[in-house]
Amino acid sequence: MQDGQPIVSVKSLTKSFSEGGTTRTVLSGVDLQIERGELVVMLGRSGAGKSTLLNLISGLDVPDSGTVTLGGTELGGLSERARTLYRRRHLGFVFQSFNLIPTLTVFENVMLPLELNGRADDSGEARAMTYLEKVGLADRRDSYPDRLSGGEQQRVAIARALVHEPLLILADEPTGNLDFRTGQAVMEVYLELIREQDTTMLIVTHDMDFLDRADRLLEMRDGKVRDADVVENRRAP
Amino acid sequence: MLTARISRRYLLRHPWLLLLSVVGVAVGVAVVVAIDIANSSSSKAFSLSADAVAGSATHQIVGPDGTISDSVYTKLVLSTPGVIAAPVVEGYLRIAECERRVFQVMGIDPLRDGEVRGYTGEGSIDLAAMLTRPAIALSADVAADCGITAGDWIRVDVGGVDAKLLVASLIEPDDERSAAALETVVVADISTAQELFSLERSLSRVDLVVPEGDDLGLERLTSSLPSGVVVKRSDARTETLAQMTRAFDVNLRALSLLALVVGMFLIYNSMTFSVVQRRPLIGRLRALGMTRREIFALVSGEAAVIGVAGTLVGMVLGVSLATVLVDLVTRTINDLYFAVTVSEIDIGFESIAKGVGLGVGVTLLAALRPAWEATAVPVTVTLQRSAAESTAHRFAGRFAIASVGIAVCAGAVLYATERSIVLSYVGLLLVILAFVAAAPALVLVGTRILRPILHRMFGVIGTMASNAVGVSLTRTGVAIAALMVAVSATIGVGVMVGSFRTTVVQWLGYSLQADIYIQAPSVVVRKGDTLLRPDAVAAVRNTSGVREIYTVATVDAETNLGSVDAVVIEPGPMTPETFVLKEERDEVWEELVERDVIIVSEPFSFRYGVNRGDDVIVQTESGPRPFNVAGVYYDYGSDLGAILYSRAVYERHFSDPGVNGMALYVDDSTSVESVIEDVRRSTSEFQELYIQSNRSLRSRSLEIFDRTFVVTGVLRLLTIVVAFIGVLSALMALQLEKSRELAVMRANGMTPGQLWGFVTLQTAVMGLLAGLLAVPLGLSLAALLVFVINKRSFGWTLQFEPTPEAVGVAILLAVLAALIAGLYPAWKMSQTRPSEALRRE
Repeated sequence: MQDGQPIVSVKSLTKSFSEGGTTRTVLSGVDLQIERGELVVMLGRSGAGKSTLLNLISGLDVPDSGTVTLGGTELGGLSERARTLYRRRHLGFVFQSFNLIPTLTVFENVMLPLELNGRADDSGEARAMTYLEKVGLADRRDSYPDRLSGGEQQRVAIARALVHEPLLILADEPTGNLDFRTGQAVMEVYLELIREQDTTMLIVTHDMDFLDRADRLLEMRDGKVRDADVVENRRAP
Repeated sequence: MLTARISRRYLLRHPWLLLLSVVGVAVGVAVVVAIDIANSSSSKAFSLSADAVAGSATHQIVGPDGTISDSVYTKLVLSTPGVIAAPVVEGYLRIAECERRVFQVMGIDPLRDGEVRGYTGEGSIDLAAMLTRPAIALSADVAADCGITAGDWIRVDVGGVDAKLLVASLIEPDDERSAAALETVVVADISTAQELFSLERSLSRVDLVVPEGDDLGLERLTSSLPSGVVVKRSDARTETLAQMTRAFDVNLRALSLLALVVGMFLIYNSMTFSVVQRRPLIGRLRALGMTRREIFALVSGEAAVIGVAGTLVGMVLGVSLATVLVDLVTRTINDLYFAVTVSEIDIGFESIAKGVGLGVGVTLLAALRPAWEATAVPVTVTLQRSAAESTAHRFAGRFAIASVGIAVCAGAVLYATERSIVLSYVGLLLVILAFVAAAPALVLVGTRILRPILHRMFGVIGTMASNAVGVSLTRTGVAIAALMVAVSATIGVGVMVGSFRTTVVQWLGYSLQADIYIQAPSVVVRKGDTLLRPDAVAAVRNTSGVREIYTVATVDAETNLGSVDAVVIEPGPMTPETFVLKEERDEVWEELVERDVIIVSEPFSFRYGVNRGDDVIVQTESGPRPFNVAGVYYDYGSDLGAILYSRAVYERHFSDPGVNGMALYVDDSTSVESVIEDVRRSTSEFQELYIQSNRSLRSRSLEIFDRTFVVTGVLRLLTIVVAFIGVLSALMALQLEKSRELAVMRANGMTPGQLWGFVTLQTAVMGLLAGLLAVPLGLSLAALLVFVINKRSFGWTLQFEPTPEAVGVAILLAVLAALIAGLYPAWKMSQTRPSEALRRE
């Protein structure tokens, strides 16, 4: 990747879904650029296409037309397998429902991206422990996810998303399943870590605290992305 | 590897799923391995004994009716000095001291036999005792087992005649092969054997050792033999005998595979469940960067673990089961084909390899589609199972259409392969697949029909139970299909056996019309080849109160089609009624007495492709002669088939065959019981005979028939066991998956009892649907077994007699199996604490 090049570059992206014989266009010509180290928050009503955009940017889904370029690599030119391998190396995910692997311990969950990337050596293990310490869960390393609270599970998910130092982290309502206080604590951990690592992040959220700390606010409306009316959004009930 | 840990912990967290899958594979593998071991043990025992009997003989001289005059041997030795030849008189006896076990007697010339069979050489046996007294030599191991020592007099039974023999020597063979072979063979001097088997001045055969490539010597030797006496390769006889059981063997193996096919559904069910249940998890792993190939490997790896574990357990179970089955299989072979004693089961590499290949292979095959489905899980991680179910509903329609295509393929395979038994089973498998493919759509239709009925009967719980089966089609569909296949196999095999039995009962009805039947005890029930002593025959003929007497003789015949069984009868007024021809012609019976014609049994006609008007070339005492086939008669006594001569024609070409059986028609004024008593009294001093009334012979015949199908019954039962495990596994899977939904019901006020009722009703619906769907499939399988597979295997024309009871019992069996399988899951579901289930992610 060349210096000065945006981490994410989306051009003329369209995506439609067929439902019972009718076609619903979710994205119609989305353009978007995100620079290195930027924290971008995406707003929008439920069903506006935010998650669809995240899926397309991460290569989980393929667009009907348009291009997605991540770190200089155009995803449309990659095979499904190559996209998967790209995602494995360069992306981190945080989901609203945590999505930890229930049959792996906390430590193993954090180790998983390193293992998939062939970095599960001693330094990898040390690294995983460091991240667990950073999210304050080193003492729970051998616990299984179902023994943790929602906030703790999300902190493990954050450690897992960051441990392999991805180019970009995609987060879909990361505090949506947490109460206000827990959500705030999780967000603090989150922002501290990504700022510390200078990681780029695209986050879909309605959490006001994220809005305050974002570098840029975008809004998804009518299948397109535009700069959000921040004041309106911040005052929204 | 963390991915391996994901699998391992998933399996360990669902121990029942793992256990049921392993047991499902294990039972399937056990059945296949057990049948394979039982079959191979009996064939190995047979081939060992055949080897021991043949020794190093390359050829044998045989007579036209299974015996040759001993003058043939004397002339041969005198005219061709230097030839290695050894005379043999063969037969069977039972030794009282060895729990009446059957042994093959090798009557030999101890002075010459050592050149052909090492263990009969001079060093092995006490010549003086063997040549001067009625003596035998037997294996030292067998003697030790039976508590016999050299010098003992033992009691033997030869075709109903008791005798005492001296144990002159105990043979200690040099090698293991001979030792194993001698487990079932005793050696006697030729004159002792001739006396035992009433073969004065006759031999069973002469064994020859002809150097490889000495065609000229062989030709010269052959030309010096009298007419009707021929030279055959020694292995040809062994091959002929081995071929006898081929169809029996193939059918048994095919039925054993059925359990594995049902086991395959179980694995498919378990693996599909594990994939469907983990769709979100797989989505997460895909999001984290696991490739499709890695996901495929993950699911296949789990299947491989189940396959390997199931196969290992199945091997152990199979070997234990084989010890039971080998007795059943051997008994059937002894009843129907030839005498064989299996002293130890043979666990060969081939049986192990088959078990491993099938166990692991079938498991991986069954997991193929679930593993592929896993790779197709969308990575969007938001997909819920309802989406999977809606896909399943869409697929139900497509599968139904595919089922028509599969059915057409099945028809094509069955139509195009006229005689192949294996391909007939392939056709049968395709028919099963066609029904399986149609099952999901039929389940949906069935639940729609049942819904209003159950609603009327059980209210909202009835509606919910019926809906639950249709909604969870990915889980319930496969379980219903597995149970359907198992129950249909029960219907199919049950109706086939029932139809067969009805046909046999009718056949016995017209073929057994005499009042009394007399036979000497024989080792192979089918053949009844023990001769009645002439003095016993004379005693029977002198019995008063008897209106008519018919005799029958069973002999071997050397023909252009190989060695075959032949029956010699005395046609009389009752004969046309007892031998029913496929094409009735009154003149047949006259022709049979006057001209050189024979009639052949239906299995013979099928096996050798011989029909009315064809010629069969038979080696007679005056050389080969064509016998025209005047007709084909129905016969369900043997699948090997036989040719039938009249005694008049037979005696024109052969010497007196003796009498193997007699049928007596009693005067109306005399009671059957008193005649039986008279015959028993007058013959007892000569020979112990089976003297049976018509009714007792019929029931004995049916007893043997039923005994033949005991193995089939065991296989059917085991198939049901596997299907039962399949249903249990499916219900347990549902319980796990629906725990949250059920907790919501409990939270909304459903009592544990109501929940139990709901789950039980749901399993009853599954069982009922499986039972109902099994009826058309079962009847199709029965029709295929009766009209295609039985015909191609044995050549029999059977009537198709489906009974309502067989069908009713099968449906009941399906519902019961499902209900029993549902008991534990129902209890478990009703016991689940709602708070616990709702808390879980």
